[in-house]
Amino acid sequence: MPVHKTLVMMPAYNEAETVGAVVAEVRAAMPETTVLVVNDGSTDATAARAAEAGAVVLDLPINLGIGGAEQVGYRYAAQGGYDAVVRLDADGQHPADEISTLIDRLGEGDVDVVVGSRFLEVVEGSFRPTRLRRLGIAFYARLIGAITRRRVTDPTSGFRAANRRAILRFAERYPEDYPEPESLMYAHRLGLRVVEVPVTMAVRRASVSSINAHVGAYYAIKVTIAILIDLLRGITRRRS
Amino acid sequence: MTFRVVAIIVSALFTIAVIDFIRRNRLKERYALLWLAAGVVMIVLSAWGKLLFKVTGLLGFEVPSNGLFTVVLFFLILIVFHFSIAVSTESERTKRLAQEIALLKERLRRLAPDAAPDEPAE
Repeated sequence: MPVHKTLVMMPAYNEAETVGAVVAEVRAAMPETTVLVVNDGSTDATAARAAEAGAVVLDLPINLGIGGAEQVGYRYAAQGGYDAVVRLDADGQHPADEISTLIDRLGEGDVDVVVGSRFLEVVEGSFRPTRLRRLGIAFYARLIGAITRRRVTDPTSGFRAANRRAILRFAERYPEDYPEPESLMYAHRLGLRVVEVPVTMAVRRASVSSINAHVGAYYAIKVTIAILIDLLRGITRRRS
Repeated sequence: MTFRVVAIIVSALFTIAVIDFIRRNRLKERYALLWLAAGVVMIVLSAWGKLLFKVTGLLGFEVPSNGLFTVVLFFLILIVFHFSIAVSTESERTKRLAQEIALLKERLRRLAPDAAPDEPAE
């Protein structure tokens, strides 16, 4: 199933400093592709910068968090008849020239979701998270890997591609807050085939990770519970 | 005796406040019934002191206040849990509405650029 109509989607919250450059990079790398910026109730000029750079802008009137912002992107893609969505961060962490890597893998047709992984192949000098963060990532990789019985190395990666089948399901319902690890479980439960491909990521340009030390503990516990609850949903659904 | 008078007055004021909030459309009926019932129970219990002894005695509490605390605590937990569910439902609805607004604003900007209420603002 070759990919004909691709949407590149970026949720953005107060990313005015970087979003314009990232949109421009994506458009330079893929001139035929629509770039969608979901402005998640930013208080700065994120929406204006994105529109100036040539992106289609979805303006959320209130801040919904990453999950809610991503979901409206999938809904836009569902309504617009797109057969692939590539989701990346608006802070420039995900390189525009790797987008085609994800789309090409999706185009092979045997998978529904492609995740760009930082850890499948470690490239010298590429982005490396802090030790504590790597520990957290390794924990989720093991947990999700054990449950889904697939190889998972980078469960927190937001650099992903989804085909039409996945787009329609994600438009319907999508995890909230910090959706990356949970959405892997969700996709697995829906019977979507998820695969990782190696990518190189840059260091964030201006903004800091939305997951700082303060929310770190909350994030860890919340996501773990969300993953286990999702496991329970799968069990109860099979029974009923 | 004075304590009983104070208790009756407070309970009555509470019930009047509930009715006033309903009157001014500040309290939805589905929650109003609950609080009206609570107000009535408070009035009855403070006016008819022996009722508490009888009821808690029937339930097997040796000290009536323990029975009161247990029952009240149980109901408060139920009510608070109910509100958490209500808040979750509302936040899901708010999310949907916000997403719908974003999609419609984009469509409006595309179809009628001049009529768009606000271009992405500074």
